[in-house]
Amino acid sequence: MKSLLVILSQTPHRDYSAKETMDFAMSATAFGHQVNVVFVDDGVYQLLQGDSTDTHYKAKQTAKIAKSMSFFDIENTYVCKQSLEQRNIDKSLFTLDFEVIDSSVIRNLIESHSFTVNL
Amino acid sequence: MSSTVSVLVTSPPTQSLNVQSAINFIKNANKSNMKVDNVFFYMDGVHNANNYSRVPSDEFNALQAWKLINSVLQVPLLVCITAAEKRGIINEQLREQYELKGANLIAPFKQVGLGDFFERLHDVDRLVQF
Repeated sequence: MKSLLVILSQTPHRDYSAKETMDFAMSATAFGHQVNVVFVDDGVYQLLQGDSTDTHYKAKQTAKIAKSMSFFDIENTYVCKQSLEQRNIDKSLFTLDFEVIDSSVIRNLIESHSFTVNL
Repeated sequence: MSSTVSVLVTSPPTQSLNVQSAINFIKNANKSNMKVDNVFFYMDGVHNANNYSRVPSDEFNALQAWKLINSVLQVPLLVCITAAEKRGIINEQLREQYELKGANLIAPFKQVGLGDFFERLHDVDRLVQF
């Protein structure tokens, strides 16, 4: 079985990418790949709750999309510790208890997966 | 020993250097005994498949470059149907369905689903994204 690491590094609502990233990851699990997801850089903003975008725009809350990942056989969802610190974001602001990992661990993750994409 | 690689293109042709890097990579992969199994266009990368695009002759023409890659190296050019449709990149079947004047996704580009890409991914050694 091939393993895929999906890196999310973009701010939410910049384009279609949050939805298309989810479709990509979910389709990978549906077709027999093992998938892990890691939020880095501005991608960590996708996890903030209290995002009221969906009341003003026709756009899904990215935190809700992230929350649904475990239902689609995505094994682990990680968040980069340094990316949170640089942005002064406390993980209590997240809707779910995602695993916070050091950036050096992300390097190991990339090495241990068959494939890595940055979406 | 030869290895196989799948190329994921998420950059639009307006990010010309990324697309040129992809083209250069594929040409050189072929020379280095690496077989390019397929190119998969996803997200804004699907704009590469827009057959209506016209570029001034002194600028990089992504569409022509991809067609050449397909004709010389026989690399399948696969386009995500959902991502393409959202961005107005329409094949003949959808053209008929929506009663539009002309399709702009034509051969050698081929519309597929994400599943086709992930099925092929089981058999490749590497995935490179541009």
